[in-house]
Amino acid sequence: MPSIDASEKSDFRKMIIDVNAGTRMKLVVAVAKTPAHATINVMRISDMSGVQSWEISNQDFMDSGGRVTREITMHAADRFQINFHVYATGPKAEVMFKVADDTGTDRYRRYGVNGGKELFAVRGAVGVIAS
Amino acid sequence: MTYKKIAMVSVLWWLASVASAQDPVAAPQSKCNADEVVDQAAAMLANAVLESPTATPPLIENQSSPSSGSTTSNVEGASRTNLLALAFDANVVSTNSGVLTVSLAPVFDFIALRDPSVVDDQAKYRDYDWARRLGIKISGGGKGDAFDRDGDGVVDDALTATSLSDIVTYEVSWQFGSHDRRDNATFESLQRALKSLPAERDAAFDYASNLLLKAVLADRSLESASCKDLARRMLDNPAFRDAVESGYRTDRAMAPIVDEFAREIDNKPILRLVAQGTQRKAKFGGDKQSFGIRFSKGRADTASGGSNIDVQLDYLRNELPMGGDELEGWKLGTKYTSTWLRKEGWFGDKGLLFSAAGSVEKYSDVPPGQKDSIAKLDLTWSFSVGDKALVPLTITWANRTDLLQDKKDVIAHVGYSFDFDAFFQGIPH
Repeated sequence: MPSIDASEKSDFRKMIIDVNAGTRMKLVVAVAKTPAHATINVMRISDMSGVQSWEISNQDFMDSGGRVTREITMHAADRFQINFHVYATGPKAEVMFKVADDTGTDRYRRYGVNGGKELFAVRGAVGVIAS
Repeated sequence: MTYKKIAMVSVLWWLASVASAQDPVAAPQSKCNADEVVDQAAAMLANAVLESPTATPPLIENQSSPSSGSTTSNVEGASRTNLLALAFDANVVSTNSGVLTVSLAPVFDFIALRDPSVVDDQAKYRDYDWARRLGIKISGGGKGDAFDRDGDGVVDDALTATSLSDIVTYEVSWQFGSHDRRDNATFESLQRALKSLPAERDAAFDYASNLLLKAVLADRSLESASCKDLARRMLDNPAFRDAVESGYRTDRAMAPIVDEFAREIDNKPILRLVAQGTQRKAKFGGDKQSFGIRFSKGRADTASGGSNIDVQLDYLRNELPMGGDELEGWKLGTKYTSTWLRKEGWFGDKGLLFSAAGSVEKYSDVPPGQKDSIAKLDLTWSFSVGDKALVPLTITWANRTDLLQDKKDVIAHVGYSFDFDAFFQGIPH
C-alpha cells in the first residue's frame, strides 16, 4: 500500500451516522510504515453487547498490503457503536480508519501519524443508526 | 492597472471568498469525535483529580554511529549512519577531496530510492531486512602513499590520482542486531510485554464512548457542542467518570513498560562484519585488505542523552609498493561517547558531546627504518550550534608526529583541531 494519501488526513467529525436500513457499511483499517495490531468491535448501543468483533493481526495487514476491510449490513432500527483501536510502532507510522457506506461515500474517518511515541495508538468510536 | 480595475478585482475576490465560505453543499460538522471528548475528559480528570499528566517522552535514540565526515575519530562504530535522507536526495554518489564515492550503506536506501513502496509497505519493508544489514561502498580516486618511488633513499611525496581507476577502495559489511522500531520481532515483543493492558484500556474507553453516544442519541444537539463543553458535561455522569479514570490509569500503567522496553531495544548490542580493500596502481602505493569486526553497545537515557561504546578489531594486510613481503598487522580501537551537561542546558538541548577514541596498530615485517606501530588517542568535545551544526574541538596524541599533520598546532606528540565547517553550512556565499 502506498503512503496514506494526504487527502485522507481530514477528520469527518461525526459521532452519529444515520443510514437507511439495508445499507452495507464498509470498515477499513489502513496502516503504513509500521507493524500494527487492530481490533474493530461492533457493539449494540443499548447494552454494549457484542455484535461482531474482528482482531486484525500484523500478518493480516502485511498479507493485504496494509489495508484491511470488513463489512456490516444495517437493518431497520439497528443502533450500533463501532469502536476501533490500532496499536503501531515506528517513528513515522501512519494509521487510518474509516467507515464508508455502500455508495463508497466516507461517513467517518480517523487518521493519525506517529509523532514520536514508542507505542502509537489510534482509536475511535462512532454510532451508526438505521431507519 | 487603474483604480477602478483594482477595486473590481477586489470586490470579485471578496465575493468569491464569501461564496466559498458559505458552501451550501458542505454538511454541518460536529465539533469533535467521540474519542476526542473522552480524551478531553481524561485530560480534565488528570488535571483535576489525578496527578499531572506527563509529557510524551521523545523517542529514545541510541547514539551508536560510526565516525564520519570531518570528525577526527579513528574508531568506527558498528551501526551505520542511516543514509536514507541522502538516498532520497539522490545523493548516493558524493565527492570529497577528489574521491568519488558510491555509497549503498545500507543497500536498502538505494532500493528505496528506486522503489519508495519498500518504505511505506510493511510487508516489503520486512522482506528487505537483508538490505538493511548489507552495506556496500566503492570509492575511486584520491591520494596515494608517500614512499621512495625512484630508489634514491628519499621518500617522495604522495601522488594524486588522475583517473578514478588509479585508486579504488571498496567496503562490504553485514550488520547483526538492530534498534529499528519497525522490526516485526520488536513490535511483537512489545505486545507481549504489555500483556492485557491495551485491551483493558480499550474496554474502559469504549464504555465511556458508549455512554457519550447514548447521551448524544438522546439529544442530537449535543453533537455540535464543543469538545470541552461535552467532556465537562459528561464528567458529571459518575459511570462516565469512572470509565475514563480507569482507562487513563491503565494508560499510565503502560507508559513505564513501554519506556523500559525502548531502553532494552536501544541497549542491545550491534555487531558488524566488514571487509575492506584498496587496489592501486604501483606508483600510488601497494594494495591493502582488511577484515574486521565492529561492536557497538549503547546505554540509552532520555534525561542525560546516554552513552555508547564502540570497539573495532581489524586484521590488515598491506602490500609493499616496491615488492617484497606483505605487511601484516592488527588494529584495535575503542571509542567511548557520552553526552554531558544536557540537564544544565548550557549547550542547549543536545548538551556537550564528549568522545574518547584510542587505537593501536601493530605490524610485522616492516621495512628497515619504519616504525612498526601506530598509536593514537583523540579526545573530542562537540557542541551544537543551531539545529544541525556540530562544532568539534579535538585534542590528539600520537606516537608519531607525522600522524598529526592535519592539526592546527602540534606540541610534542599532541595536536589540536577544530572544525567550524558545519557552523557555516547554510550561510549563503
